[in-house]
Amino acid sequence: MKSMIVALTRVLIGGMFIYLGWTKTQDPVAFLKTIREFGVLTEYWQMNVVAAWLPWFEVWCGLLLVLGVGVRTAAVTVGGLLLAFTGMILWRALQVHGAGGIAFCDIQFDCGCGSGEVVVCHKLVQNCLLTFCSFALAFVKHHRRALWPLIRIGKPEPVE
Amino acid sequence: MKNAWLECLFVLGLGVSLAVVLNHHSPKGLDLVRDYFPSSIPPGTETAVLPVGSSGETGAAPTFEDEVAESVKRLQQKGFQAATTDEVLALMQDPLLEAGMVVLVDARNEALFQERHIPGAYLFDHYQMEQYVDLVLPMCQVAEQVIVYCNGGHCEDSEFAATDLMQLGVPQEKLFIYAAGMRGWNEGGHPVALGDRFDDFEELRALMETLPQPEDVQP
Repeated sequence: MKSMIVALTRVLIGGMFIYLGWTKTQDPVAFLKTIREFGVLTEYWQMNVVAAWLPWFEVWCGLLLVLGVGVRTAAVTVGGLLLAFTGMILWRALQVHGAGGIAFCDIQFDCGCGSGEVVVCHKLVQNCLLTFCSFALAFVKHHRRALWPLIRIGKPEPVE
Repeated sequence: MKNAWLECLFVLGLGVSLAVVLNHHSPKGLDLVRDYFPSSIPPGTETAVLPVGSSGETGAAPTFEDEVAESVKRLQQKGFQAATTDEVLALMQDPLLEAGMVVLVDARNEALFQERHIPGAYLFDHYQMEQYVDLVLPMCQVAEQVIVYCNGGHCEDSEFAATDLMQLGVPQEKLFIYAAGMRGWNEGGHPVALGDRFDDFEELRALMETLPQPEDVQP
């Protein structure tokens, strides 16, 4: 039962990363414009690198999670990315909240996540849950339904 | 421990390498060394954000007219001249447009251009410039007036496209930016073309005669 839940979480987070990453690869210019609006990166080449590479990297990490290859590193990487995205969304939302006097949970914008305009509160809760699940995946000792046991850490549990 | 390092190397190393290769080979891939936002002033983030349920017409959110006015001010600071909807509308009936002395340039992407564009406009997507420059640049070089537009309001793509043209040798005096852009054009109910570039000026003139004249159009 536990291994089934772990596998489902892996597929869910991996699937989301594949979908959202792929959406961004299909319109990197829109993603580039969103990155610029955040104002965190100031040099053009930094924005270009993130907009050009990150979506493909997200798809890659998503694929690894779904297939169960290198799960621990993929899960930690995805968790780290989610943590960074969540911090940036929170930072921008606080800026908007401070500038416009809009109630925090009424703020919505395109966070560049690949899902269009989102309500900030919902997105933050969703990201926190996904981050927790990603890091939790990294601490699961054995991924019984992983495709490539040779790559993952630890010896596979014997199949019952 | 050795396995852990191998796994890290596999996930991160191969992931980054794949990202580099896929971006390089993707037709929509970005050029890492190109400044896509030349001499730009970053847009105000608060204007891009609307409260839940707001359509932008109510509350503290700026109206489209405010956005256009802001853009005109920004354009003037950069030395560009702004064109109004009435001026673009008047050009639709001007034989200079058909003769190529006036060139309309649509700085949005191909999907938006195909969806609708101002009749007679050439597509010149700033972000995929190399695909369009061979066709558009000679047109702009011989023209007396080049009018560039994008979505309007806070959209800056027309400025970037105009900057590209300027850097390619089109004098800035010739370059005008239609700040209200496609949104302003649509809101005025003016004729639009679908699909590839519309160049049937006879049909356009006939259509324009049936529409209100520029002086009758509400600002």
